[in-house]
Order: sequence, then C-alpha cells, then structure tokens
Amino acid sequence: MKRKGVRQGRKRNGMLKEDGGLEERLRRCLGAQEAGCEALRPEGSAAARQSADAVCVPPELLAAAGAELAGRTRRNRIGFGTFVLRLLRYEGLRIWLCQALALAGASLIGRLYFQGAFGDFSVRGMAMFLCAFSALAALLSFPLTGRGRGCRMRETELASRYGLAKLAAARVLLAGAGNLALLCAAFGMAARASGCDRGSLALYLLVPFLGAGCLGAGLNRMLPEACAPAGWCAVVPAVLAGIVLAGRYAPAWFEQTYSGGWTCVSAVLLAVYADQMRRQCRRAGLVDRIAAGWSG
Amino acid sequence: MELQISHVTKEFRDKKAVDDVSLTLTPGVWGLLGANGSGKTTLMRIIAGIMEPARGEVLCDGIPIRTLGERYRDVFGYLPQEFGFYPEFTVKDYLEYMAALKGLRRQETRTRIDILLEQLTLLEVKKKRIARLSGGMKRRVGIAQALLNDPQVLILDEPTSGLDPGERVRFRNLLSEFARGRIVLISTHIVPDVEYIAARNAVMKDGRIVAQGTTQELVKPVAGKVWSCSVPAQKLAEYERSLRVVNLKCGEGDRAEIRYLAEAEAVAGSVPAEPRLEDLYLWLFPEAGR
Repeated sequence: MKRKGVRQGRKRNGMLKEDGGLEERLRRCLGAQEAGCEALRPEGSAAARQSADAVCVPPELLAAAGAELAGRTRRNRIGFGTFVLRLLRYEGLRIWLCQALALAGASLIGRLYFQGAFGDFSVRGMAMFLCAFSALAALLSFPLTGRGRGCRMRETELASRYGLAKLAAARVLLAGAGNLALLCAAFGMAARASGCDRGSLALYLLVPFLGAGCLGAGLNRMLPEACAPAGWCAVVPAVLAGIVLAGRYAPAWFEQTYSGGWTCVSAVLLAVYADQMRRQCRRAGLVDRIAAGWSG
Repeated sequence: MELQISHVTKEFRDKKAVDDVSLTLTPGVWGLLGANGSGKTTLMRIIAGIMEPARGEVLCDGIPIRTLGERYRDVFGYLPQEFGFYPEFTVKDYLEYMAALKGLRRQETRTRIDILLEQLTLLEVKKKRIARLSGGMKRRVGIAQALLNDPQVLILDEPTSGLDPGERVRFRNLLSEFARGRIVLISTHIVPDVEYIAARNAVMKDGRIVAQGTTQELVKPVAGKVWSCSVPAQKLAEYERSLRVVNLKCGEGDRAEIRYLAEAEAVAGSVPAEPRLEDLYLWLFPEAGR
C-alpha cells in the first residue's frame, strides 16, 4: 500500500513530467499560487489574471493547476509518525499507566514470593522473577491494545483514513515502547539486586517475553471476541503458574547462562513475534471482521 | 463527483443481504428507505468501504474505492447506525481523537471542531463526558465526527434517531446546506426527514432496489391509491384490520379521520388524497404499518 502510495505520488508529480514544457509552466503556476498569487483561483482578481496572462498561461492550464492544488491541499494529511504521537494522549498514557500499575503490583507480589521461596534473590529466584515479569508484560499488551470492540468504536475507526490496521500498529508500538521501558527498568534493578551476570539477566527477560508474546498472539487470533476478557484472565495466571511449577520441577531452566544457542533461539522467537504482530495489525483492518465479531 | 455502485452483492451464511444493487449517486441528498433487514446498513457499509462485497464494486469517479484506499477515506464521512465512545472521552477529546484518525493537522482540527461544535449546538457540553449526554446529543457528536474532514461523500445511517423535532429540523437544514456539490446518502425510517430534503430516493426491499427517483417519480405507483375518509370511531378496529391504514386521527365526538391505501375506494365517501413518500413506503412494506 505504501509502495502504491509512493508510486501514485510519483505519478502525481510524474503528471508534471509527461510534457517537459507543460511541466515547467505548471510548476511556475503552482509556485506562483503558493507564493500567494491569486491567478489560479477562479475568484481571483482581474489584476492577478492579467499578471497570469502576462506569463502566457492558457485558461485550461490554470484550471488544471487549480485542481491539482486542491488535490494537494486535500492530501495534506499527517504522517504515521505524527499520528502515533497524536495518539499518545488517548492511547499511550492509558496503555503505559495500565502496564506500569499491573507490573508494579505483580513485581511487589512476585518479589515477596520469590525472595521468600528462594532467599534473598538467589540466581534461580531472580531468573524466575524476571521470567514471570517479562511474560506478564508481553501478555498484558494484547488486552490493552484490543480496545474498541466493547465500546462500539470499531466502525467509525475502520472508516477513518488510518483505519483499524494502522491504529492497531500504533497501539502495538506504544505498548512496545512501554514494554521496552519496563524491561530495561527490570534489567537495571535486577543487575543491582543480584549477582547474576548481565547476559543471563537479558536472557531471562528476552526469551520469556518473546515466547509469551508469540503464545499471546496465537491466542489473540483464536479467542472469540465475547470470550476475550475471560480468556486473558485464565491465560495469564496459567502462564505464571507454569513458570512457578517449572521452577520447582525443572530448575535447570533457570540456571542458564547466555550463549550462542540462546541467541539463535531469541532470533527465531523475535522473527516469529514480529511476524505475528504484523499479521495482527493487518487482521485488525480486515473488513467483515466487525460483522463476524472476531477479536484481533 | 459521482459514486457508482455497480452490481453489488453481499451474502451472509443464511441470506443475501444485498442482491445485485446498482445505483449512481450524484451530488445532492439521497434518501435510502427500507424496512429493518432490507439491506440498507450492509449497503452503506459497502459504500463506506468497511465491508467487501461478494460481487460488484463501488467506484468513485470511475475508480474502485478499494484502489483509492486512503484517498477515498480522506473525502468520506460515515456515521454508523450503532456507534459508541470510549468511556473517558469528553466531546472535545472524542472529536480530536477522530480528527487524528482522519489524519487532520492540529490547526485544521481546532478550526473544524470549533465550527462543528457551534453548528451542532454542542459548545456548552464540549468538556462534558459523552457518556453523560442525552441520546440526541450523542447522536450530534456522532454527526460532528462524520463532518470533521469536510467530506465530499457523507454516509449517514439513521442520523436523526433520538433527535427531538427541533434538532431534526436543524439537522435537516444543516444537511441541505452542506450537500451543495457533495453526495449525501441518508438511510432512515423517518420518511419525512428525507422527504423534505432528499432530491432523490432509493427504496430497498429484501436486498434489492425496488424503486428510485425523485419523490414525484416514486409516488406514482401509489397515485390514485391513497384515500381519506371519516368513519365512526366504534368501527376503527374493524377498518384497521380490513384496510391498510396509513394514518388515523381521532376527531371530536364519535368520528375519526383515516387515510388508507387501496386500489379503489373501499369505504363509501372516501376522497382521493395526494400521495406522499410515506404512503409509498407503507405500500411497499405493509408489515411496517402494523
């Protein structure tokens, strides 16, 4: 779509390039218009028209230039980056506040549990805590970015210029920025609080985050809209319980160190996660979903 | 500008919601009339580009709207039949949010919002949460968002639902003025709303366009079939069962004035009445009058 837009953009400018002489004259007319000359406006003054005649611009060219300028004005819309920034106030703050509150609460509970169970943040305790924290951060993104269904906003959002796909992408970006900040904060605090090496700390943040993100994306696709709240309420505790049980019965998973193998695993998970997020954004914009009432 | 709906069909699992509909919309106000379930909302969603037809296409000045994509949505405004708001939004927040979604620049957003709040008499409530507004005010907020990008094509699905008579008159006047040089398509059950302002109307039944044209052209099928008479009030129930009564007015004493549809005079003393769009609607949708 972007390529098409670029092609059409070139074509729009290319319209000027088809005939060298026409291009030059049209460019002069548009330049005069943008400099404040009223020659191209139908209601322009007689004096302005006379000055236009003075540069030998035929009436049909004036009309074409006026139409082109009207089209430009209409196409003068904000870009995607500005769109994301404009959404900060309505989406970004909400998402970040929910993430911060949820993860602060979970951190408090988790810290008490893991410190209590494993002493003053042993290697295993810290690893389990970071796994749980990052998995929770990844899973929370999905319900936070899936807004609009319950509030009957979807049709109006879908019919707008940016539509649901780009709105979903903006929300994913905002949630991703929040996750990145929280993961960095968790990394910093873990590095200070424990004796684990930084590579291992990054491993226990990155791999569970990406793994839970891939799981969450798959569930997001399968969960019917009506069941989504209950579904997420069931999935999150299940994943956290899985981490606790793994800590008890497969403790070796939480005594890993950073290695080339884990780098490959992370790279694969990152590719799958990125693809899942891209598909989720595209799926959000697929028409007829509002009729079917499916989530994602 | 011209919007061409060409052989559009949309099927759902159990029925054909839109069945081979072709219509050419030119600048002015168009009314889309039809009973519940006749396919109006589905057709409007297809024109809005938020639903894909199974067959056929919608063209804007000869270019499929699918191809136009964002450029079509730039010149398009849509008010769905059922729409909602995020609970924390005030009127201004909502309009600014929708303006961002429509890609409007900040300065243009501020200007347009100020103009629309004034035109739709929402200035006093701009900082109020939408959830606390009356139904009519919420509907006006929805209309405001549809007009934000100063669209060339405006699709309104039941726009006057919930508005009081004064608000409906103001809205009709606003639309009439707005529709100069633009395409406005209104779907409604409130026939007078389109009768007064729509230059042309289309009537949908079971997914098909069964009639289209100006009001004068549309009412031709019921010309000579609309009657009015005075009847005893005690016999009203009997007449309502046996005749297709369009309007009933209890007069003083024991008489009532009825307006009914029939091929020929069915009650002695009936006089022919001037047909209206509402008569055509009830002629085509007899179940709507029961």
